[in-house]
Amino acid sequence: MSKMAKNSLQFMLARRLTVTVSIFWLAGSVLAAYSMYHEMQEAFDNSLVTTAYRYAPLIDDYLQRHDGGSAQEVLPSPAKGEIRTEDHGDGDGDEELGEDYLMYQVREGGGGLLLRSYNAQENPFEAPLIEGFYNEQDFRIYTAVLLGGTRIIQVAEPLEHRREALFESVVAQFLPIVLLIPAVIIGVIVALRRGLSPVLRVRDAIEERGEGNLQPLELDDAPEEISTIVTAVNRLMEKLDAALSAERTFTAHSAHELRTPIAAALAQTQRLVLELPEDHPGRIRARQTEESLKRLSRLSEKLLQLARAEAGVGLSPTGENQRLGTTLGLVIDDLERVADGAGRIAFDPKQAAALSANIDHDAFAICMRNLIENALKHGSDQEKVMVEVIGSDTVRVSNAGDAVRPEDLDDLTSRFKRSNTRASGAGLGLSIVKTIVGNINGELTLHSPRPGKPDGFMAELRLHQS
Amino acid sequence: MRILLVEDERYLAEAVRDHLLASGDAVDMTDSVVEAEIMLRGTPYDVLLLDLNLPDGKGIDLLRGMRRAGSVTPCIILTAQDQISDRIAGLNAGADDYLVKPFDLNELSARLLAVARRYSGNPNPLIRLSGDEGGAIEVDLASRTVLVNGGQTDLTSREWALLDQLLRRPGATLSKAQLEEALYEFGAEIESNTVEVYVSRLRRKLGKAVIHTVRGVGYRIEG
Repeated sequence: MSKMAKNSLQFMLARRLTVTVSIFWLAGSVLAAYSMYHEMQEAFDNSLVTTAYRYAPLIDDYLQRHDGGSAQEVLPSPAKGEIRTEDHGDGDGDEELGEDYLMYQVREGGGGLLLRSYNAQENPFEAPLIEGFYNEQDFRIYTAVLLGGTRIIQVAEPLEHRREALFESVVAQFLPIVLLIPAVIIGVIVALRRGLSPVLRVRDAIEERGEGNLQPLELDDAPEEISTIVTAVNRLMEKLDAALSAERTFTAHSAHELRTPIAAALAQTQRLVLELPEDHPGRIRARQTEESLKRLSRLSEKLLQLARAEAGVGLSPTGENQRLGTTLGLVIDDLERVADGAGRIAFDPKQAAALSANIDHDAFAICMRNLIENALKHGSDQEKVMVEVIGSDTVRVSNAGDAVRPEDLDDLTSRFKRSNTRASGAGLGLSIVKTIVGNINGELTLHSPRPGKPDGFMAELRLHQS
Repeated sequence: MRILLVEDERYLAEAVRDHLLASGDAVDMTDSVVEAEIMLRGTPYDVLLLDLNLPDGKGIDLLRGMRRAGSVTPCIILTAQDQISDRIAGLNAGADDYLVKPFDLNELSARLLAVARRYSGNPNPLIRLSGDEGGAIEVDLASRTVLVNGGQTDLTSREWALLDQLLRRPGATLSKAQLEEALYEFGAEIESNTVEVYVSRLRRKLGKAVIHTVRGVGYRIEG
């Protein structure tokens, strides 16, 4: 059974149900104990009355046979009918209350003590000699007036006995309840878990969707309350999916619509440069136009990448980890073909085979292209740009060259920020990477100088695995 | 090389065509998938340059159809779709290379040569041939330079195209018709002795021993 969070619905319901059930249970028990107390008092009192009247003929008989009796005479207790002189084994030699808790005194009408049971005190009870109940300090006494007031029987019961009986009854009632409360808690938790299982399944399903999967939730056996939520969430995800698709389609179309005319202009300009004679004044202008078109091309590429990043691209569409080794290899292969990258990238494809993360291939390619392009652009020609795969979720791109000032390092991921204004670029690359990394719950860490080296720059991209 | 360029952006297509023509290649051009299919069935192109978004269909479907039919014509995709997934889809469909617009025309030429070399079975761009009287001829396909006994010899684009065509199938005899087809696009005016004229010019520049005439069949360069 997994541990419940304190602010979970399960925990709150379990706590409230347990506390409420326990309070009502205890309150019911207190009321029952109160009622039991009165019933017991009544039963004990009845017992005193019954004893007094049951003994009356026996005592009368005894007194007739013993010529009136005397105060020194003792009779058996009402319970046992015999005199007990041994103790109960506690070694104090006293007779114990045990079941011989009732005692009596027989008084004459004037108050003189005629007889007493062996366990009754030698002195007369303080209770007045009138019919009814009386409480002494330690006894509950019933006085029965017989033979027209010439003979009186007083039956006494120690109050301690009543308290003990009541205590035992209350304990007998409350002990099972106290023992049952933990069982109630466990029962409530189990019942809640079962009852809330559709809610937990919906929660898990929504959590999975949070990882980039916008497939509708399937919960056919859910109770009505939950199925309403499921329907609402599915409708919301459908809208979100449509919005994201529209955004992606728009950027894809924009890419096509923007790139094609730039491509035509650039190709025509390059032809113009080649067709104009070397000394033609228009050739310089054509060259400048060519350079401007190349810059425009790079800027449009970065702006489209930024638009994609801000449209939320990043997580794998299936929500599952993707193997990224081939994608990384293709990006590096592509960059090695351009003049900047030819022979300047050190990369071991075997290392990349283990690379796997919950990221869309295109988003990963955009990140890697930007990090490696940056390293090629700002790095020294004397040392190759290193692309290393660490474990299965981390890629490091490092280059030699001037170190970035510590105060500038954090600013590098801001838009249109460049560490070195001599190098060409829009200053958007690291900002794009940071945005995508944010979309996938990954981490981008920049180091300058490189760890273990006096110079250079290293970007570490830690990807998120599902 | 005889190249089929399938591209619907007119200005881009014209610039690419002019660039390739200037390099001595023969270029046929269309902006239609249907037309491209017909042209591919009728002509043995050396390379296909293919845009993906065309007015009457998808270039990638054309490529898949070609590969399904068993065609091995090298193909380079020219597209504005820059995503890595598009590239993977293109390569999986049977493309040999993938060039994202906008591209440098020189980059396109380099990729064309690389793909053509891969298909000729000799990826090494440096080829050594025996000239007259034991002389050495060194041809660099990448930089398009020819050294005869250590001295550089300039070739016109047509001369280069003819030499390139023969070098890509060393030891094989190519007919006059095959060479004409490789050197000229549809509709080009070809004189009946054009191939003989260029062979003769090449022999003057490189030496008589380089290109062998197989009487009644065609021409050959020994590998």
